[in-house]
Amino acid sequence: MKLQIFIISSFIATLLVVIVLFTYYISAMAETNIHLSQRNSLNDIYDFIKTRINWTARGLCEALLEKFGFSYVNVSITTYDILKNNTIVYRDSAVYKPIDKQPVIKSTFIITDLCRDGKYVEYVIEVGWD
Amino acid sequence: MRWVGIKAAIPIIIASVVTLALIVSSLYFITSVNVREYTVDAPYSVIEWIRIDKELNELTLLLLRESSRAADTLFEQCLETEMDKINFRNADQAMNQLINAVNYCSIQADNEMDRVFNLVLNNWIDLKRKEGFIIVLYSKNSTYYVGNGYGYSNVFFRMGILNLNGEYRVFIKNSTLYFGIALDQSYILQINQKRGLLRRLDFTSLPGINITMIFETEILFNIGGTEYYVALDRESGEAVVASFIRGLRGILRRAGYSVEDYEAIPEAIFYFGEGYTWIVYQTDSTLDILEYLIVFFGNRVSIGLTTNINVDGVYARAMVILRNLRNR
Repeated sequence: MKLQIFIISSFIATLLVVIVLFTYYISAMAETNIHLSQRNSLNDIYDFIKTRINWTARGLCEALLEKFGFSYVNVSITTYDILKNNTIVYRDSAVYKPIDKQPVIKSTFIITDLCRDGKYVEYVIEVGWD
Repeated sequence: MRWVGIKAAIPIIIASVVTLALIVSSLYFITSVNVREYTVDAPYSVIEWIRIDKELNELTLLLLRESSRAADTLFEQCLETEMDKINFRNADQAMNQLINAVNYCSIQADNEMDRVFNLVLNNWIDLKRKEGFIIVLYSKNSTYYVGNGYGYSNVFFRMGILNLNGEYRVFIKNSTLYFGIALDQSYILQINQKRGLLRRLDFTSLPGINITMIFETEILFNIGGTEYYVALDRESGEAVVASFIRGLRGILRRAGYSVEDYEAIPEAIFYFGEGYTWIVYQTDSTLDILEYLIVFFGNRVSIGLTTNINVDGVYARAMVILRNLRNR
């Protein structure tokens, strides 16, 4: 009888520990390891554009679609030579527009880059999300 | 029985203590900050100003590079033209005329620098205005100066920018390339002391007499208030000597001496730190240079030559004076 009481109480105690462990370590503590971060997509786009020097509008358009998952992208690239009275030395544009749906939110960015040789590259980028 | 009851409760007490400890420690762990995570994120306008600042830094260097190059090219052409008007056979007058020519060309080159500086700066402002920025240029200046023993190229502007959100910032940008040069004349003086002897000899029968020249240069590059000491590398050192020798040959030719080809390769270049470099150069075939120097020093006058440097595409020029120390 003494032994039975001892075994049963030990079993209950072990069960209690296991339940508590499950509750805290599996449910509660897992929540503490979650963090939320919000990134400014424009800064990402700027950094992304800077990874290459010679973008074509089509190349940039496709790369933005693939990288950021926009549903609509309109890219226009103009390169001026500021050493030669802002002569346009390069101009290119491309649009990606799905036929079946219209983007709900649209945003336009102008990103510029002054190169060492006096070339001033202006990227006008319009992006849209569903 | 009482004893049995207590005994049976022992595991429960132990389990309760352990569980309580776990609960307390878990609660402490959950409620305290274990990991602090920062996400670098700033409002769009802040990022925009940082980018404009970076672009202005790039613009400042571009302005200095382009305008100093144009100014230096014009200076060289101008001096070439002016030197044709100088009679180098008359050593007494030649030096004064040369210094006047350097001053005149320095002013011409400074005007050219202003022209290119204004052109490029206005082009950039035009493009930014098209994007919707309101830009006010409060003050601007560019200088190209060739002086005795030193010279510099400098650009400066103070600009107010109003962006599309109505935010306003003032930017001040300044960049200078300073070039100092002096010629250690101790070796040349030794030859000068032999003047009497050399004059009596036939120059063509004097092989192996070389002039050793030691150029002491100082180069400082100020970009936006930060001063960088520039170590003159072998290539730039050669360019300094080449420019000097080119000038000397120009004078010799005009003075009616037969000019041989001189290799402008320095013997050694020592960097002493803090922007100071010594270039040791020995002329291979020096007889006509030597003769000319003797004529000049015999007349107790000095001769001056200009030489330039190019640091990252930015040019600065200074006049090197070969001074007759006997005048002192």
